[in-house]
Amino acid sequence: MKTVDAKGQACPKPLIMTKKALSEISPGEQLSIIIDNVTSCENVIRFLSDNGMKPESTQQGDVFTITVKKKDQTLVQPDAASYCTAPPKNHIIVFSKNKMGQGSDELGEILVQALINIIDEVTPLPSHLVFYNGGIFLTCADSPLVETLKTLEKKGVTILVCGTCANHFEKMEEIAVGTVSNMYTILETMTEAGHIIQL
Amino acid sequence: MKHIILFKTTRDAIRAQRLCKRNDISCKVIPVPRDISSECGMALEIHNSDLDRITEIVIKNGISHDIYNK
Repeated sequence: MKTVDAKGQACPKPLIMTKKALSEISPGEQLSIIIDNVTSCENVIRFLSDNGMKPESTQQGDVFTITVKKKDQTLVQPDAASYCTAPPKNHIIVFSKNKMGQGSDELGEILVQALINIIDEVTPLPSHLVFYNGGIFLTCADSPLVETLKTLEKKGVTILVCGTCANHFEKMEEIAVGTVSNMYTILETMTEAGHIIQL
Repeated sequence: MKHIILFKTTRDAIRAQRLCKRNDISCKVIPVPRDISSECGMALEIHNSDLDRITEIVIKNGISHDIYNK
């Protein structure tokens, strides 16, 4: 088994050393990488995972040892150095009412429709759409947005609908898309989001 | 294929959308696509098969509009 000793090395060095070592072994062969800072360790793991490998890591004091079996001869994500920067964090969109902005309700209603109807044209997609208070009306059976929201759900966007709100408006039976959720999940989702777009 | 209907004012777009709803025609409110105009505005995206009916309704209601193929 080949070993890369990247102790004392800062990013992107451990990544570059890992990539070089990978090029020197055959598919199926094991590689172990020793790193002494958590950021580099996470970046190397992400680099290996994105290239279809299954790295495992152990920690002893401040030293991490990553072991991995080389997969293919060529890398899908060959730019090791780019793994130095943190991955972009997800964003979510929060709908607290069934309108966008203030001033005119009828304008606000079509603005929110137009916005939801083009969510899938702007990349990256949000990880979650959260609907609470009057926002839940957008997810009800008579909303013109149900089909669009279902399409977004199929593309991997999680749709959370506040259950308390649905009960309050006596709309529980009419929620036509998404998962009826609770305050814990909604707060966790907002806490973990990299960025929140609040409407 | 789909068509996009453009209006002179957002108020007309709102009226046209209401008329669609009242007549049970499905339409999707979208911002005016960038390749048509860089100005902010609202448009309706409709199915090809509904074009004739919608055109008839908006004309009957005196709403001036433009139609684009998508």
